Amino acid sequence: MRGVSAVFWKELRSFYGFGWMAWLGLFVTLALGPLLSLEMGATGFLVTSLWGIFGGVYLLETISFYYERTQGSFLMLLSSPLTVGEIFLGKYLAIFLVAYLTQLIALAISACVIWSTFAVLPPPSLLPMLFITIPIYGFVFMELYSLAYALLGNVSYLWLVMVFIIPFLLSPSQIMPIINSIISSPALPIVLGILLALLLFFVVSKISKERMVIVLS
Amino acid sequence: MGIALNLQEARKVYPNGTEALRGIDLVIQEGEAIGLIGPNAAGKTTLAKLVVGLLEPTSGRIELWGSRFGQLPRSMKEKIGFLPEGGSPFESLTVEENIIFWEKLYGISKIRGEEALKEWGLWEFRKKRAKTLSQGMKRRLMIAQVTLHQPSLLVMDEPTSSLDPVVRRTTVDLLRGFANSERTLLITSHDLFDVERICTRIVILRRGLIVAQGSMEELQRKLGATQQVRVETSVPIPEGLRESLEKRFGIKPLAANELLFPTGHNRGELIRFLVESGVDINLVEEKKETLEDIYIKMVKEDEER
Repeated sequence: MRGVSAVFWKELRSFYGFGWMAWLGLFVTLALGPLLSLEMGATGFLVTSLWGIFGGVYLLETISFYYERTQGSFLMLLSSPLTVGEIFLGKYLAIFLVAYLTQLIALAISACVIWSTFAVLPPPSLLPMLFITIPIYGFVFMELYSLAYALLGNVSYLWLVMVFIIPFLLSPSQIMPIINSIISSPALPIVLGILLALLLFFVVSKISKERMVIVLS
Repeated sequence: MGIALNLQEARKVYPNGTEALRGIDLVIQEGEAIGLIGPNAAGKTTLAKLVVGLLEPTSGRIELWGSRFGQLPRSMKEKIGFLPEGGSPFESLTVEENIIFWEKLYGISKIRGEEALKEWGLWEFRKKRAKTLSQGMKRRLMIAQVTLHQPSLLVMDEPTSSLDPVVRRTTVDLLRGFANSERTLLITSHDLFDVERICTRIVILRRGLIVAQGSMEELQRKLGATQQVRVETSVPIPEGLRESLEKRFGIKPLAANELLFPTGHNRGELIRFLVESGVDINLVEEKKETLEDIYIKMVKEDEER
């Protein structure tokens, strides 16, 4: 765990040095939720939480990989005794922590906006989804990104197409009821998410250093 | 002393079909300092990356301390240090944070990190972000990072590139000290002068194959390298005397006031002849063939084959 905690520490420190891009992303993440809450009421609260974790994770992971690649520092990490799995886990934990904290702040602001504007609070039934299910899928989202990065390199943003668009293009009428039934069940999405996160982590940890060197070169 | 590194028929073909290494056999004993030299695309960087496990051989075997890289326990992997060519420190971090990261990674004390910062002249820059440093300073920081845990096997790809002369001298001195210890050093370099000063054995690679290897003396012997004598005169050698030198000794002056001839010639007789001819002599020195001379000769011979 020494290696993972070293990468975790490095990533957290790096966010301060990313400059205006990261801070702009953070500002947008924090501002978008309350704005949507004003427009959409309680529904905006849900969008805020989704954006907070998925948007934050996507932004931070993209920036982290971009900087490591363009600066050439990823090679230094790979040439250390760290495994690819440890490097990614250290990155995930740091990115997740920042994205999750951002989500919590954005949610708190959104709840205040909804309360002050519409005199209602988001329903408590949303809480398990907001604080358990969505963070788990945020983690899955990060693992998918890393996998896409190792496979696609510079065009890794294409994974967004794979993750979100392709399933709906295939057969929306069949997929939507399945998604609805998963969401309506309280435990199933959590169990599925954890299994998916573990499976993806297993796959990600099998990525060889050579694969990463080739992607980076 | 055991074997630190053993490459048997190591071959590497990249996915695009480039055959970077075509069967390398190389045994490196613990405590040896090896200099890998060769023209561009000779396979030096590929070999370095194979040794530290960044690449896997397409065929053949690479063993570190008797085990394949994948089978090495973590504690042994931590005894390796690698300086990549063209890499960079973590630019978003400060100089000090870059060192702290490696301290955390290897479980090294903060005192050792501070020593390294001072040793490499980085102490006064420790609060600066790495991205604000010059290329030379970044390289210096990287060397400080990869030597921080005092590795038993240090692999460095072009360690002295982009360093200013002062830091270059410090680096070479440090690597010489490293080479004199019981630790193993493998460096690739285009700077043959540095390799000659640091390494105990030189391996010449060309098109993915080892074309020659040995100590400087062995390479000189193998390639029939000759020692030469250089004579410098205080005034230009007169035309008539030049002809006499050519007729009598078979020597053509190298420049107006400079002669160069193999040690086999009768040096005493030649110098006496010059003095008797009224030529003042400034300097007589033995000139050994440098690694650069040997390397160029070697590559030319290989090209002619």
